[in-house]
Amino acid sequence: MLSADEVHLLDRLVLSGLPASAAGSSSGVRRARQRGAGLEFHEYRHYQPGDDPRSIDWTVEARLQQLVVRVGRADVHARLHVLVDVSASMGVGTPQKLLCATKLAAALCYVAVERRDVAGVSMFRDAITHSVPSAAGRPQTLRVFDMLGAAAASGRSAVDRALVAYGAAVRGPGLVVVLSDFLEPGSGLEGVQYLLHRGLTPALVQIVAPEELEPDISSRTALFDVEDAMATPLVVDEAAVDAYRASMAEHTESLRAFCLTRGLPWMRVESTAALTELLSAAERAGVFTAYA
Amino acid sequence: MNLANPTALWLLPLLLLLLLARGRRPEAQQHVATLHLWRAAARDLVAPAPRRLRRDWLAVVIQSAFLLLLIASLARPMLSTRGSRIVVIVDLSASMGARHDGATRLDAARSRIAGLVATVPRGTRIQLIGAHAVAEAMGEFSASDPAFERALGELRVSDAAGAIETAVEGAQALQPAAIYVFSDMPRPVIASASTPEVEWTAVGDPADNVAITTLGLGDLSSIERVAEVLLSVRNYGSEAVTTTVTIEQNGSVVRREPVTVSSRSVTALVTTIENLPGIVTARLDVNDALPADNTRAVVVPASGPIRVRLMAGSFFVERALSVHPGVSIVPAARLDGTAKGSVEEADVVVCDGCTTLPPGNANVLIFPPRPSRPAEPVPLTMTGEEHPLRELPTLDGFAVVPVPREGDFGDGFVIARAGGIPAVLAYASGVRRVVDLRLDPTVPGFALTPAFPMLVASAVEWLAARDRNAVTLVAGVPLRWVMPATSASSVPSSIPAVVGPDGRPVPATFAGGVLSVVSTRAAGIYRVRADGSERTFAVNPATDGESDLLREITDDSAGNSALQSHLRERELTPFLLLAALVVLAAESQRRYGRVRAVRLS
Repeated sequence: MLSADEVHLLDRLVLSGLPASAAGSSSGVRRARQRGAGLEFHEYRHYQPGDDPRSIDWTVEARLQQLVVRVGRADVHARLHVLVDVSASMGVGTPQKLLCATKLAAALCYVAVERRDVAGVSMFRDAITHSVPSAAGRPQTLRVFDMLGAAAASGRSAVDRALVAYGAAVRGPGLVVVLSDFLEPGSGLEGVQYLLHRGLTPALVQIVAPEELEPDISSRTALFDVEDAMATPLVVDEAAVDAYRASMAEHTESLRAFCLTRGLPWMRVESTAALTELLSAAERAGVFTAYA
Repeated sequence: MNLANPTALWLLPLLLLLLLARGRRPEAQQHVATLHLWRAAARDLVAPAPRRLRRDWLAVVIQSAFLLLLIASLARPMLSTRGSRIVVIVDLSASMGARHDGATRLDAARSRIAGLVATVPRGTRIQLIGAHAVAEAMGEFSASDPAFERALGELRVSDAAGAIETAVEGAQALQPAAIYVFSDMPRPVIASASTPEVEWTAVGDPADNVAITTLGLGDLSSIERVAEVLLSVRNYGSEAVTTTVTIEQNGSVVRREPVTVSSRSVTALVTTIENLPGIVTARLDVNDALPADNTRAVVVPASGPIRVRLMAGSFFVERALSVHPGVSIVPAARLDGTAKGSVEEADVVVCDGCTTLPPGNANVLIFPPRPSRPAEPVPLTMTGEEHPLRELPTLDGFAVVPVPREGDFGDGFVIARAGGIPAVLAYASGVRRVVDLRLDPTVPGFALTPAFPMLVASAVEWLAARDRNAVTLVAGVPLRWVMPATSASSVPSSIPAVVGPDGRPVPATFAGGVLSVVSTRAAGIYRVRADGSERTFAVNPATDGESDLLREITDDSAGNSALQSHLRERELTPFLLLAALVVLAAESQRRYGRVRAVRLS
């Protein structure tokens, strides 16, 4: 699943942007940010909706007329949930988008486990099909790699339904990284909102194939939906490509804007990207940070 | 417009293939993750064909136009640049029957017409007119119609002179694209036939010809037993001709003798025949170009005394009538027209003292009622109006007692006046001739002079109208006969039947006592049958302008090739091919522009 060089790249990374988990007795690498007795002061930051009002430093407020909270530091476990879309649409592209998704899922899981975080990986189509429950320890990595290695793209996708089903089974805090192409109408935004409601922090990773960004259509071509064999093919010609690109860009922008307004990590990668490009994109999105 | 190769239209179903091909499934196929984004952008080409075609209408129109232009060019459409109706006038006058090398001039005209028809567009309408004494419409045909060839073959030469100019004027009124005249006459130098729209084709070669140009009777007298026949033979040829002339009367040869006629000259013969009613024919035994003018006939009318019915005539009138050897007085009748005994036919009725014309249709010599007190005699003065009665010796100076009469005499003639008052009048009343002598015949003086019986005799002869109905005509001249009454008050009870020289009925009209026969194009003896009696009249071939076959004929039809060029069809194939290439270029440019735009984006 991961080569030695790729593992070497991953060793310098740590998952970031994860809320701390209250459970767990083992110490994790990540320092939790919560205020409490005995917690070492870490920093002040401006109040954000949802913060515990008890963490507001009223003396700063009286002096600066600004709401700030004290962020403490604690060594707690982070919980990582990785959801991989294994519907038939992920089989499109050369190489398949699923390959990119599984590689990135493996990388996320490896980094989390190595940093003694809790990680779990699930695969979904229109529902959760396979799952390795969250756990820590290196055997978890092997279990995840085994499952990801057997993944095959098939079936129809229903991202919203799968995310809702997952959110109903788990609750936060935790980082939920959803790896999908998000090309279906409405594309998972309701599911993402449900995850937020459940206290989870969704991070969307849209994986697209280069041919989906630049379709190679120079004549009348019949298009078939890989996920719906009964769907009537659509015949298009080269004149439709421009409009399709515009639709794709608009769709992607809607996903990005959704994540941006909610402060959620968002990244779009091409299925042909190497692991280094994937990791760089993930760093830029705030999924990873360099391990200090 | 017509198509030279209409079978190419069978390629039109290819257009359907083109339209069907637009709806065929494309060869390229792709599997995509979702059609959602494509549906938002692409046109739905899987929809039923009409929607597909509507969305792709420009390409369909252009490609269909290219295919249509290509198929149309293969069909070779031909377009006539001018109107598609022409008139062909064929001269059917007597001279068109002249032969040269076994074929007549009409045969030559048919050949030229066939050549013309072969050059005009197939859809051209051709009005065929035969011109003899009248312009006869033979029908309208299309250039490719076999009926036109049949009609052409059915044309027959007449014995009449040709009325080409009348035919041309009538054809011009039809406003055709062109008028083609085929004649052995030269193009006349008048406006109607010299307009640019008339193409004159001269047919026939010069030839020698001899013809009987005159066969006439001398003055026929009702009392003479013999009559003279004048025969003229003209040689139109370039060399002297010796031929035999045969004159027959009622089938019996009267005279036969050789005659030599010098070139371009006339020889005349006078022969005496018996003054018997019948037919006199003259014939030349010569083998020349035009046989029709080698025979001529003349009808000797029935002669005999003029039958006069006297109605209450005075002594002087009766005496004046009796001294005329050609007058026979039939039994008298009362003024009301009835008679004491059987009524015989009368040529003339003499009504002395009548206030009005007696009943019937007989011609009338009338004396008005005398007043109780006669006027003073006044001298007669002849008016000088041209009338046959004026040929009698002058009446100037003779003293007469005039008898004025009221009433208009229409377009009649005043032969003499007495004291300024019309005294001798001649006029027509319907079909009747009337001589009105408005003087008193009972007063001695004028009645005792020789002038009075001469006046009465001349009047009776004119009234007898023995020269009114022509019995010898030239072909093409209509016959007009005033039919004689068989009784004092009747006209022929049935419409006279006219039979032509070939024994077939000839159309005739009979109205108001006048028989009219227009169709006299064929020379020969015609018979008129009415009320059990039969009369004949002879129609002779026209020779003036027809028998002279040495006339130089110049054909100026070659100079009118520009006329035919107006009718020449223009083939549209090059234009259609050019248009197809333009359409193809437009489609290529459209397609290249789209591909280029896709690649640049």
